[in-house]
Amino acid sequence: MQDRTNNPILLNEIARLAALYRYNILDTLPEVEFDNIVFLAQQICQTPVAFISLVDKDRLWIKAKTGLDFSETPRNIAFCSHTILEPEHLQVCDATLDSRFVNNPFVTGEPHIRFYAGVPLITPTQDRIGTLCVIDFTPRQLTTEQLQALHKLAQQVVAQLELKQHIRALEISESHNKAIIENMLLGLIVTNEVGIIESVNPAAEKTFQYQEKDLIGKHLSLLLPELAETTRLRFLHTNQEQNPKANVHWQGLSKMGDKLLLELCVYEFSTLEGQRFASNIKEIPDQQELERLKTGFISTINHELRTPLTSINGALNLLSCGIVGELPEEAQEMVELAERNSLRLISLLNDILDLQRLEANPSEMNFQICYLSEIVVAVSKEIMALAKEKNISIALNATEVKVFADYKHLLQAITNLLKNAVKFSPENSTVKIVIEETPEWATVKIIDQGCGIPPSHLSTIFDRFQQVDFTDNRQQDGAGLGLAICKAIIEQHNGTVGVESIVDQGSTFWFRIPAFSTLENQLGYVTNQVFSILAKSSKESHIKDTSLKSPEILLVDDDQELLEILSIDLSQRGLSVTTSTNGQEAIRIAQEHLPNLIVLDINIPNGNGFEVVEKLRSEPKLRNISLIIYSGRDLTGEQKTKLSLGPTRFLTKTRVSSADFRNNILELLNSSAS
Amino acid sequence: MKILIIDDENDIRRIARLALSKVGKMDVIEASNGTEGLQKAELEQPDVILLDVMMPLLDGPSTLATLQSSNVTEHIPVIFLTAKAMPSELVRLRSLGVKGVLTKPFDPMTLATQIKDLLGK
Repeated sequence: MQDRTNNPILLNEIARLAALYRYNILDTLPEVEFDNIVFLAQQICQTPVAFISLVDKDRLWIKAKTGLDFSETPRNIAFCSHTILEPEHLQVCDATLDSRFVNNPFVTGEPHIRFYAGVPLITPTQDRIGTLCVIDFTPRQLTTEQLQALHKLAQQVVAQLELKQHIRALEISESHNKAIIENMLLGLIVTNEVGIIESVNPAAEKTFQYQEKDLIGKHLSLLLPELAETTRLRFLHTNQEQNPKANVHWQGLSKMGDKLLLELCVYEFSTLEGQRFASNIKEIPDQQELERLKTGFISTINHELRTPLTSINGALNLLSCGIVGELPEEAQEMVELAERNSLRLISLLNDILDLQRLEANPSEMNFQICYLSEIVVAVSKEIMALAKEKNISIALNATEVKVFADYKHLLQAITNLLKNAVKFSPENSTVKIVIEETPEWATVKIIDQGCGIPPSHLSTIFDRFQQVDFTDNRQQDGAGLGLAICKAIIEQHNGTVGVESIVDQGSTFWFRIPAFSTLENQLGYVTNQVFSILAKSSKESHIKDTSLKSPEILLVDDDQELLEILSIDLSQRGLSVTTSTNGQEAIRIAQEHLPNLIVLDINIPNGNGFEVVEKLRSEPKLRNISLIIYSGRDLTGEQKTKLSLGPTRFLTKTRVSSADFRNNILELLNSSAS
Repeated sequence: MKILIIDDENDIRRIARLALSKVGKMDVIEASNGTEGLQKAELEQPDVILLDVMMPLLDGPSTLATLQSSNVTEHIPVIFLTAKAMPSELVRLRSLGVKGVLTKPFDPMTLATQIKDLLGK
């Protein structure tokens, strides 16, 4: 039981204890700073005992001491419990004469205290958490100077406690920050004002494959060659502050010399040692790898969807055509409805594949000189039936405008536009097609008198899965990829698509691609490499226009489809391709065109491959043309000898990939040109 | 004309059979995998083989290679019927020494004509 008189309870005890515990000092090891203060107190006061005590809930715990052999006593018998209640200090000159202490066990027994002087330890929050005190075993009194010194030393004790608490808080905060920086996914590099690296976090180590120790002291340009100058870092920082959403990509360089694509955020901050730049770095996954995954995914999905669709569409088609028996009228309608929709799905699959290919493989484009009017006429013929259903007339101007374009793709783009125009035009109206040319652009406009497009939809009309029709709920075929495909095609031609529209009056869809005349001057660069082969070849006299003519290849095979595919593939490589399906025709074309290279199948009608070779090699001007024998089967040694009357290479269809085939052709062209 | 359809999808075989027999008036034999296809080709000696590309175990190109390597079946023209639609894939398939490549989905009403066209008949 606590005695009210002898064991004062502070009113603000809870706050006092909280203040004490904040210092985390109780039960810690001795520390020299506090030992020194105790020593000074003892020296100044000339007492055998001096100590620093902290008044806990039920005990007195001694942090530093001299001349004392215990480090803890119960609070209720401690002199110091009284000291913390005093406004300034407590001095007991003779405890035997003081009613508060005369019966204290420390007075009546060991160590027989007679004199005590203590100064409270007062925190900045005015909490009295303990004392600095001196003790003697004979009665005495401190001088004023000694008491003053004891007060000053008590303040020093609190100052030390405060300092240690601050250091501890800093350490905690430091370890927090360190843990965050070391575990964050973003790379962090801190440099000084001139770009010398001062610290690097593990994510940055991983990104650049360096260890921190190899980077400290090096210049940032080692990792970010484009960012060598500090002024650029400052510029970036300012720029990011002004455009926080600006997402700039930079090239980085790993230890292994790999080029990295990085997103970078730089900020500048001040330290006592000067300005610092912190660069936040995120590696962007290899776009090509992503593209490859996307292509693979789309291709797989396409295949997986196509298989069941084949069954669905096939079954419906057989049903609707009455192959498996006549259907009642309503059933017939339903089956036709289902078939129509399965066709929509198939056309959607085709569109997705088209769009994917256009975006992933611009190299699949087969550019050639075409007349816009020719394409427009071809499209108009195709759409005519659809137009006739609604008695819509298609009017076109007959300007002859040449463009350098991929015929099939441009045809597809114009078809999509014209089909839309007809689809959304009212009956008995006219759709106009206007071709225009400026020195820079060739423009095609498709003008309808349809329902028009609300202004709010104009900006998204070329996005994927946007339907053109906003005014009624008529079911339209297609899935809204037509215009997106159109846009992709035109963009592959370095062109632009657009639309102007007034609701209820009609829309004008247009696109423009570079005019041929402007391209003509640049053409030399397009397939420069191939042309240089040509320029060196022996048949320069036959080339009417060297700036436009590419090496010519004659493909001879009885498989018309294979010929088409190979032609497309080779034309895309800037080669000019002629084809023939029989021997006689092949020889005639070879004589007329003098190709740089002939690819010849052996099993062809009207003179087999052996006859063709014999004939070719017997003519002086054809004798040295490179020849690839591209046969379905392996040939015997004897057969090969018969065929090798000039520069000849043998490829077996089942054994070479299309890439190998192509490479062989390019190799032979190169060697024949040099 | 006797045609052998090698495809692992029952439904597709069924539709192709209907299309070829009812519309194209062909004799249709079916095989549900490459190995069975090889046996039937040898035994039945069809005039043409319609061969799926993606099949478990023995796929289309492997089946084709085996057909081409046997003197009992090497003369039988083969046409691929594939759901692969990437042009690069089609080029590869065409280069394997087949009469042609038809893609899924096919039009049941014209399938027989397309096959006859490819065979030059």
